[in-house]
Amino acid sequence: MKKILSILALAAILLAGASCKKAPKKEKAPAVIGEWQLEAINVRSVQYAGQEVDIYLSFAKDGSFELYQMVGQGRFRKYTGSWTLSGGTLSGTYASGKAWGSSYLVSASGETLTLTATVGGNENVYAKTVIPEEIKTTAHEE
Amino acid sequence: MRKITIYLASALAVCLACTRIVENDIPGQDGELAPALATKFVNTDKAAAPGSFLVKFASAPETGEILALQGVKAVERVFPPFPGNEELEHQYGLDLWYSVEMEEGADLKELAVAAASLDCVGKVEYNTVAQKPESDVKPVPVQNAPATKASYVDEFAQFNDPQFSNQWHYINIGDKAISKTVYKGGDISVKDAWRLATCGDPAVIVAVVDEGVKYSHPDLAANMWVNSGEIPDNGIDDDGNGYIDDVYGYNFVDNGAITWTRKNDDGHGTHTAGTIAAVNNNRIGVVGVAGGSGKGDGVRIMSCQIFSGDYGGSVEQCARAFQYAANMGASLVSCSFGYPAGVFRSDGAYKANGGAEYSALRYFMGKRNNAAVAGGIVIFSAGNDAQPYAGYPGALADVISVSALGPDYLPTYYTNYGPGCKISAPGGEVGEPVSAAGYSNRAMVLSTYPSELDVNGGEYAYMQGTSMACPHVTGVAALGISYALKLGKSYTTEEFNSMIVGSAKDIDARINKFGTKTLVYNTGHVYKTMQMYEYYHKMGTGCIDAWSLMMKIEGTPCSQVAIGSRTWVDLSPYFGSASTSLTYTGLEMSAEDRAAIGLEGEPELNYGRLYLKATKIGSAKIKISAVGGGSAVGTDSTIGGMAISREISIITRDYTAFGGGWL
Repeated sequence: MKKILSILALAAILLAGASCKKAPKKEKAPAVIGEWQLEAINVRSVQYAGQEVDIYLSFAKDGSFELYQMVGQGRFRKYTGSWTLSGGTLSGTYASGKAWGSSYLVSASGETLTLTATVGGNENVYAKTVIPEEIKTTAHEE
Repeated sequence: MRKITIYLASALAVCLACTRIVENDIPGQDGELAPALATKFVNTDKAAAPGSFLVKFASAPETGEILALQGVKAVERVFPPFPGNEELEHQYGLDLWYSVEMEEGADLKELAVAAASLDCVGKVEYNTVAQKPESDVKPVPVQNAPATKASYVDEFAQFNDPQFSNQWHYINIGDKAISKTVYKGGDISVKDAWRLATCGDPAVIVAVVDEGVKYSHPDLAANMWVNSGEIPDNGIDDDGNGYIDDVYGYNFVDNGAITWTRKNDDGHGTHTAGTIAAVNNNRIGVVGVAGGSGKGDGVRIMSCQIFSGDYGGSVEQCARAFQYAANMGASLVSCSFGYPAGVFRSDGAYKANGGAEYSALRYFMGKRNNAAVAGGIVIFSAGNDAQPYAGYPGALADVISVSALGPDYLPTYYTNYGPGCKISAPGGEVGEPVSAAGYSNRAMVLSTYPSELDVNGGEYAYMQGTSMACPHVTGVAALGISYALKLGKSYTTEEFNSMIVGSAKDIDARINKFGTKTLVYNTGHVYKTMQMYEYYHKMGTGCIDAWSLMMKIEGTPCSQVAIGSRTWVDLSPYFGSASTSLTYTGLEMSAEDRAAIGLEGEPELNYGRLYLKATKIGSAKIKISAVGGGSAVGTDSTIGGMAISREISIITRDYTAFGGGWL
């Protein structure tokens, strides 16, 4: 009987441990969720002279994202994939299975989302927005 | 021997049966003339038209000196002066070309030599007349009946034209009823261009230099260019452009109204016009590449008739047609004719013999007729001689010549290929058995046709040849100009030509260079076996890709480059999928741009990639030059490809993601 209790106790402990491990460390209402437009790039004070960079991001609750980008000229390109936020670090994978070029430290403040690349340390400041429907419908899917 | 070929291959016929033959040996070779005099002759008098010849004055025209020659009846400008264009005409020497009309009984050669002896005369050109052999192309007319295939599979839902689904050359769904060897996707990738970019613009005028276009054809009439300055059939040159009653264009052969029903006309001009701009979404017939969306927004066709029954194709007629197209607003000329491959073997040889025709071509290329491109775009067929080089004038380095593909997305048995061929497009090929009943005509190209030429009154016909491939590229180029106008973009002629030639889908991956392509009769007997290695890397840059051109016009995004290590940029967005096999000729980057990204070492080009190492975050532009079609650009001593160049914009970042995503 004692042995059984011990086993039960052990099981309970293990289960408790397991459940502790499984329970997502609730990020505080993930601040990244929503639609964003790149507002400023602080690339060590260097600007992309003459090149227009227009980036829209949409992070959904289900862990998927949509990225609409126009870098330089041309039609918006659409990328999709999944994201995770852990310990204040945002990382993700494109639908192709390739990881993002960098993960980002997240800092949110009201209508602003700042993503600081862990590679190189550049800050990308995004403002809350609604992605124009025209961009969504005409973007070229990558 | 000088020949002018109308590039439409009859079904399994010997290609040269389609030639229009004009004798023209190299002048002076017979030793009859003193060298100084012989150099003034552009061509010889073989097969020359009686009664007239052309002269180009060395400087200011001295018509009085010509008129003073015994036997001269009149001297008139080859190119009628066009108000407002005098400066450009002078720049290209059009004001120096005169036609000398002779009195009856005068000796052509004697008079031409007498004219050449005058100091004021710089060149003499016999005004040759083309002759059309009895045997000619055999179009296969069809009625305007519902399409034979369940037409309204999704792929063809965009337009309601009932014969659309038979136009595999626009959307090739791999229908084996067309050909057993049909290749899905072997088309011009125009569907998305229509859906997301443009279907045309009536401000874009395309001159079809060919047989007369049936301007009253129900599937063409709404897209015909109309000269608003001319009152039809009043016998007066109302707009003062030098041509009477030129409402839809002009007949340069008969000097009058456009015709398409003379003996031995074969509907060639009406067919090529339909590929460019048959009216779309009008519930009848076929679709044209730039035929609009059904809202009156197709490009406009101008008929410049240089063939009429058994006549036409002379130097003077072609030359005047190009000048007319330029003066009356055409942005492109579509020319499904030319000299057979091998008549000229270098740009220099053609230019020396091109005379008035070459001057007029240069004039067209130098004339801006829209806000998007600084000059005219010239597109020719590569020729049906099955020879490893293109025919001239299409082979000229600054002209686009088009080779032909079958529904199998492979070179056709008749097409020219190799140096001088800049790009390919569907031309059709009936030489494949598809059923016990025989060949499928549907493996050719379907377009508009004059009903008067068919005993059953068919208004559409299947034809094949590089003649049919050429208007596909013209149509796509016309779509490109339409889209550039819509977006407010502007290019030099060289830039726009580079974008066209760089907008191609790969063919070489489809060509098994160690294999063969066999064409067999329906009896099972082999008609022809083609060795594919002969065509590998020789069909220009590949198959024209309409969507790719639209994307280039929208603008190619910056390539992102990570700093700190040597990395590469894929050049296919700039030069098409042939970028891996192109011959690159130059790379330019300013010192300022090098500094802006902290370039370390020299950038290099290899196998379609630009290799470089940047050490600073910033942006830069790099101009890359290449050869479009062939391994070297055509020169005065060689036949070759087109010099093309693109500007690559890069931004450098701490990191990049695979596929170019920002994150």
